[in-house]
Amino acid sequence: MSGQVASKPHASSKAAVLDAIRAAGTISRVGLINATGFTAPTISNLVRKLINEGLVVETGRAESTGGKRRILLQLNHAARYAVGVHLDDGVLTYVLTNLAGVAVARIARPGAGAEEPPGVVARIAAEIATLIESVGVERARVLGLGLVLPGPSMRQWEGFPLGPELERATTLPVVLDNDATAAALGEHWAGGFGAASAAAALYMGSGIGAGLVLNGITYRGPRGNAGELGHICVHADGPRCWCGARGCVEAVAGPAAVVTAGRADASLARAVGLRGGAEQSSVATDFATISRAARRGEPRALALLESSARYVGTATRTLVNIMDLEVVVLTGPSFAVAGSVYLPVVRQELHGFPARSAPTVDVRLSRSAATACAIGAATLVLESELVPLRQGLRLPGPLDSEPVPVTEPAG
Amino acid sequence: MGATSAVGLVLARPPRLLGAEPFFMEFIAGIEERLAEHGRSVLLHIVANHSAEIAAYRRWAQQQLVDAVVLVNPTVDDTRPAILGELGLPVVVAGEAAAGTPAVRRDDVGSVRAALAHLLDLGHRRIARVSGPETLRHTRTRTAALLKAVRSAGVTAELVAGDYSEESGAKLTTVLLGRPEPPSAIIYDNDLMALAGLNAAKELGLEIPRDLSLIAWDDSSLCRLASPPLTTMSLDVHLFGDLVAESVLRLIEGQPVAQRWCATESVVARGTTAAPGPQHRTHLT
Repeated sequence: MSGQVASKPHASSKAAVLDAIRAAGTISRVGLINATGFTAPTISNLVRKLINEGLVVETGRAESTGGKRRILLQLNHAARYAVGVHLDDGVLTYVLTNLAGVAVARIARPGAGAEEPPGVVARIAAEIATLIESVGVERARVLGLGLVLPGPSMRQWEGFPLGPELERATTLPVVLDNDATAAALGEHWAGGFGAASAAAALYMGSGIGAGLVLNGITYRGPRGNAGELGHICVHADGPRCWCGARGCVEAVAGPAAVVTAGRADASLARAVGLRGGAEQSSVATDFATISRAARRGEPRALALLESSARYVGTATRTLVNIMDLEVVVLTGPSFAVAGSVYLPVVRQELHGFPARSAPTVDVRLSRSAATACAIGAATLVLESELVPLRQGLRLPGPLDSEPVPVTEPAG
Repeated sequence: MGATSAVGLVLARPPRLLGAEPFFMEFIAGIEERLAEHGRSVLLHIVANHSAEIAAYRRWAQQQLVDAVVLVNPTVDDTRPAILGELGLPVVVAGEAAAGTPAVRRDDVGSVRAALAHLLDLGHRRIARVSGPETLRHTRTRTAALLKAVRSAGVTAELVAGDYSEESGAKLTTVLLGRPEPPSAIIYDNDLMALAGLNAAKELGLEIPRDLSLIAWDDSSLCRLASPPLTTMSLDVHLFGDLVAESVLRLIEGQPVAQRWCATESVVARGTTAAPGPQHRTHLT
């Protein structure tokens, strides 16, 4: 962990120290010297500043190692908060996290659907105000708003200046990102990748994506298209995907494909309780229904998911081979409900080839799979406001005592 | 509009534990799915302690932020239903409640009997249980049911109380296994303690289930993914949430709400229960 903090391009030395404290959980001043490579007087000075700002507190002493017992430092969790929003067709999920990126409140509201963007922005602003009020947090302690979108699938939002409009409506700094990248950042903050220097979050909602974290930093690619796992080809002559290509894993075996196959099998649909016709539920709801039936042991539902899982595993193997990933975490609402079926199959797909001397990949299920995007969205704010990196940083808040270069907000 | 369509649920615990509790997220998903059909949502708030929980209820009542409250983890001498009554917030209790308070109950007595019967059938005679906090009503109900059932079976049970965390599950398992006459089977009141107990036992060099049987409560993905997969009690947590939501909806509409019951849990035998190993059998003869 310490090597990662030292090698990350933080915007300021204070950001580097705060990030080291966050990553460690609790750490002494001597530990900080080792983690950051800064001198003792620098650490002493920066820690004093962070304590004066209320961001860090002293929290008792470490076990004695012979000499004087060292005072431990940790984040003051209730010092600041961040709002995370996951905007999706079906559901709008909101969380309020504390400084450590841990959710203290959560609510899910009806999604954007076909609603026009200006109306959605007004609703988001009102619902955020209510969420902050319901937790009783002073608004001044809320650092900003992170919002994530499901990538390029919501076409009516193209060309709409979402960031500036949200900043105007909420009067909060706004950070935008795609769902899989945000989920990966949230996982990184929660410690889900351990000490891995190359890790990915496989995100499955109604589509499939992957967020990459390399040396503690999310990798988005120059145009934000890195980790498009859903469009890895698993069948050259397969069905046409909405993106125009053939055989994308999302089209062959994503949640929508699973649900379509489930609905088409009348006896399966009846057995697990899928409603048809005008009563038909969303893809997310029906995928959850099929998954719960599979978990109860319904054989056809299980077979359907295991077939999907083999394709997802195949695509994952491609990603692992290209990126040399050490850890893969399954996350998102679809893995929250079906992870126990997918995980063993994906593991098998990655570990089942002893002849090739590839090092093993650790495949895990996220502990916050159901709310990963919204938590990740809030983490975007914490990162950009508290521990900004040299690249891609924006809107330095009042917390930054040292001047940092400002770039124009995107949009 | 946004302010009057939420149902509140407060979890009082260190926030770090939330992500680690698949049980509550599945429970909330069950409530949410049913409420969404009626344009309503669950407002989940995680607080550190009891006084913060009460403060949240007062704030919600004052600012009319929720239409009803789902109360979880009912305690012995629980003051919260009365406080919610004074505040005018309708409440549905997930668990045991005083007569007249709308509640959705789990059949803890029947479930404990089923868990014990599974272990007795396998031949276990030295049984232990790592429970949840003793202040919780369902912990006490399960304890009473277990003591009664072991008495009538002519065996004994050792009880230790944890706090549902992985730390307590690991620590208490190590304590139990370090005793002069260690148990041959341990029942855990949730999934996280059982998982940690499984790992602790393996670290002590025990082979599971040959040397020790384990049963977890709160079947979750974590139980299925454990190595070997954990034998659990099979509560349909999603359906539990669904039943709670139905009671909440009736309550909000002003209809009378009876106490309702989840189906009695049965044992899902996976890879952590088997007949006791030879070291336990020789002790018996």
